[in-house]
Amino acid sequence: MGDVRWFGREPALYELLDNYIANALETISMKTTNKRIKLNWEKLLGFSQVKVAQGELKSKAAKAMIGVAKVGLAKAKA
Amino acid sequence: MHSTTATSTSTAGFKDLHGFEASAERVRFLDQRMRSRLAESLRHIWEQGEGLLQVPSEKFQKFVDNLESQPVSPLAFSLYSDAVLAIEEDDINEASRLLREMISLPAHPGGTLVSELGDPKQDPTAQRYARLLLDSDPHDSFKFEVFPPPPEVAANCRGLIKDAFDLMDTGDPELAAEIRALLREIVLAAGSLESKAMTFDGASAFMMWGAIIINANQPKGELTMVQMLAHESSHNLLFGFSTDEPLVENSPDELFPSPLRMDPRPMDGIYHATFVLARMHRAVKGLLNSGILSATQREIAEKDLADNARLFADGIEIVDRFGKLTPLGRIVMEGAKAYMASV
Repeated sequence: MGDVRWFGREPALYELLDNYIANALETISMKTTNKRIKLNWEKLLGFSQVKVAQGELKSKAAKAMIGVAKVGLAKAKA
Repeated sequence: MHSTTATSTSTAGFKDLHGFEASAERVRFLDQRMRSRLAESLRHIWEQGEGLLQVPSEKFQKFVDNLESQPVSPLAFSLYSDAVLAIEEDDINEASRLLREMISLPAHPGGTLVSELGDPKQDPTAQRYARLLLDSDPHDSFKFEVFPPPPEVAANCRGLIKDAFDLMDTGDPELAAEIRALLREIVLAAGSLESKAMTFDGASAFMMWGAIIINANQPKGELTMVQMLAHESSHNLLFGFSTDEPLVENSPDELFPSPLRMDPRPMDGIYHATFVLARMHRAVKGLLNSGILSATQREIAEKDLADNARLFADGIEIVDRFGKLTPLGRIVMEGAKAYMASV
């Protein structure tokens, strides 16, 4: 409670801390989820059908949706 | 995305787009649509990545503009999809390199090119084609080896391709025209010749639109080659249908017995195999009905028709029992079922 009162008396400092935390969170967010180039998958041929989170693109479900090879008639030689 | 609306949108501009019978005009529409979608995708990438991508702007814009009016190498689709994956991994340098390679591809002269696979260990382009067989399918329990075809094997295979097209040009010209319109490149490769080694007949992939890779060692005659071309080009036809929506909604983790492979496959693979069997049947039947086949060819054709019908029955039973088909998937397979019921 003392801290609250303290922040209440020092709005400039509170704002500074608030901005610091927000910036810190944004930095973490950029590292973990945001790409330098953000693509909208709905606009991408072959990727618009992938509904899983973008981070799971390498999952076999996502790769299957993009369109894996169709290999014909695999068989062992006699 | 899986709604009927999506289906009706994607058929806009072409009557009977999903019909079973061969149609070169329909395929030209699909090819145009595929290239337009690629152009739209590349424009989106450019808008989002301008300033970060190290790609010459003018050359990029020219490539994208040409996409809508000219045939393009299947490699363009492959390089594009790898560039998207690189962007998603924040590897801008790799994405830029792939896009630079894409816009530097030589113009495609049109028609169907027949080429021979280079050595995947030394040639990056050969490696890109070989990936169709080597590492693209997480469900593959089999691993294949793929090599450049020996010259005499490639020459023989080229002869069979020519003979197969000659047969179709005479006996079923619309099928020949459709296959030519679907295939921008037939890449001849060779599989392992070791006894008991797993081998392959052919392969194709959505992100290599217009290309097929075939095992030059496998076809034993022109009628087999007709079916191989009908088979692989029909995979491409299905890829062309499914630009905006999938054919099935089953999880890729659900595996089922395949009519064409020894290993269990996801429903998408079962769907593809079943559909292409009907198309192989139709290809042989068309030639048989045309009256141009020799007595020996007729004998082979009758046997192949029976095999294709039996395998189709195996496949459609699995599709009907377990397949969660989208509206598009239902429309397309209904055509195949109707055809097989009529013969």
